[in-house]
Amino acid sequence: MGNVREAVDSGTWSLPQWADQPPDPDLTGASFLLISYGDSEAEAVVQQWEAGLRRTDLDPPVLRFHASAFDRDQLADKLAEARCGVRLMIAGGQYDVLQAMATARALGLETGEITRYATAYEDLPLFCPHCQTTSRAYAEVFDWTDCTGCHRVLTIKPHYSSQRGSFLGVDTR
Amino acid sequence: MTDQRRLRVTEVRSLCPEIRQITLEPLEGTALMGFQPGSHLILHAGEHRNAYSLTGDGIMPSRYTVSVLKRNDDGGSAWLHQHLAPGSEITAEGPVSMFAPVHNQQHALLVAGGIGITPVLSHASALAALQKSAEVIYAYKPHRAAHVDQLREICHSAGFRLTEVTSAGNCRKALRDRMSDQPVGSHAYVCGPMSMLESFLEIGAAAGWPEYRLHLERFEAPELDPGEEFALRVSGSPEDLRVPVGVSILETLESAGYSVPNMCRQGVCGQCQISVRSAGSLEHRDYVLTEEEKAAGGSLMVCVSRGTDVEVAL
Ligand SMILES: Cc1cc2nc3c(=O)[nH]c(=O)nc-3n(C[C@H](O)[C@H](O)[C@H](O)COP(=O)(O)OP(=O)(O)OC[C@H]3O[C@@H](n4cnc5c(N)ncnc54)[C@H](O)[C@@H]3O)c2cc1C
Ligand code: FES
Repeated sequence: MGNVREAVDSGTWSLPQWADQPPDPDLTGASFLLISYGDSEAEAVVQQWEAGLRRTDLDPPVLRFHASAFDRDQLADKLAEARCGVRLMIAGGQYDVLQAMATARALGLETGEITRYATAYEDLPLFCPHCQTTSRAYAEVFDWTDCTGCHRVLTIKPHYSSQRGSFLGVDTR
Repeated sequence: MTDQRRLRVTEVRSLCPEIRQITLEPLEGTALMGFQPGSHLILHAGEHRNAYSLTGDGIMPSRYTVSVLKRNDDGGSAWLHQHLAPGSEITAEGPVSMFAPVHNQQHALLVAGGIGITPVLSHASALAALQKSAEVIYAYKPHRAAHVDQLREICHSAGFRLTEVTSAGNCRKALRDRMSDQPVGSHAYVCGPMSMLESFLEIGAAAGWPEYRLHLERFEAPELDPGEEFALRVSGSPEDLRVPVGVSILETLESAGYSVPNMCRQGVCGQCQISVRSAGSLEHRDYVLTEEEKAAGGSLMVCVSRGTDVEVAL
């Protein structure tokens, strides 16, 4: 665990923070885009969000959709149809949610306009600085895993970039 | 005080009754600084020092242009109308940037009322030059439509749209309509009369715009209540001062012989910021400091803000 200590001491840890329970919708939004990725558990979270929004006096416009996995172009299309004042709410596995979050930020939303909830943590987005590929890694921080782009063996650093929506991998051999 | 320089007036043009456009060029052998869209110059107008927004795009300017509305007969704006002609020289400070575009904006909604068109024109010109997209709402009185032709020209660019309105009711309607129909990632900017700024904030919030997407340029501030008397101390000075009802900290310091940089004297320009050493309480009444800066209490705009038992460092 030497490298764990080192990283803690030098303050280089940065990990995404997750809530234990699905957070409440931000009612200052004028419309809502609700997305679930993966399994029925994520879909249930999003349905619960929608029901909560419908119960408010505001009854804002809500657009909900489900996809088996994150797809950049699909999300970009939905955001192009949405208008400024929208709040994005995402539920799903860690990889899909973090990638969707980073895409939404690149397309102009700020973190204050996004609510996210992870229903599973078995995968994470791993960025390879050697070939610039982001892989879906079924692994955890400090594990070794293959880069799907260049097949180097990477160690997953406890370093999450919210801009890229991924953890940093390094070839330490 | 920012750097001062002399500039030469090369043209004075009447845009409509009461509004004149003044073109300024550098004296021989000097260059003009580029500026962020929405910046202003501080012009020395007789005994006044007033801010005027630069209307150009700020990209490698060879001249500066400002447009001045004459407000009354003895202020700085009247002085500029009376005294400036081609060939005159004037002292200017700046450019000062306090209404800059947000660097990562995906799109801009620009809203202008009356003479508030000046910084909006600057933003629109810069966005057109950079081939970015924007939408403009311009509210004006029919006989006072300064820069409207120039604005229409700019709004012919691809990705631009212009809505012109000539009544307060239609302006609110346009704000409701357009603020609910901008792309994700937009930022909105407004400059105009106070009632328009209030509508903009209220309609923007109702349309779900977070505060950090709403940007205001104030040419003037509302009248403030006179407040209570309180004690003021300057660090290092043994003397205790009293700030009377209806008198500002700035005026109290000036009467006691201190000189404090200032310009607008109404909490909008940011020139009179002073460090606070300690205070029983602070009442921030300016439009310059952010909510975080106000909460931290490290400094105060002394032309408008008050408090109790305030100690300042000069
Ligand atoms: C950032 C910014 C940009 C601006 N851009 C433009 C523009 O593009 N075009 C335009 O026409 N106007 C602009 N203005 C408004 C302009 O600066 C003047 O306020 C306006 O021309 C009014 O001038 P005046 O002749 O009526 O008032 P002046 O008598 O010249 O005074 C201006 C203001 O300063 C205050 N003041 C000055 N000296 C004192 C003093 N000794 N004691 C108390 N109060 C004092 C007064 O309250 C008055 O409202 C801008 C203002 C700001 C802050
Ligand atoms: S003098 Fe302008 S903010 Fe105080």
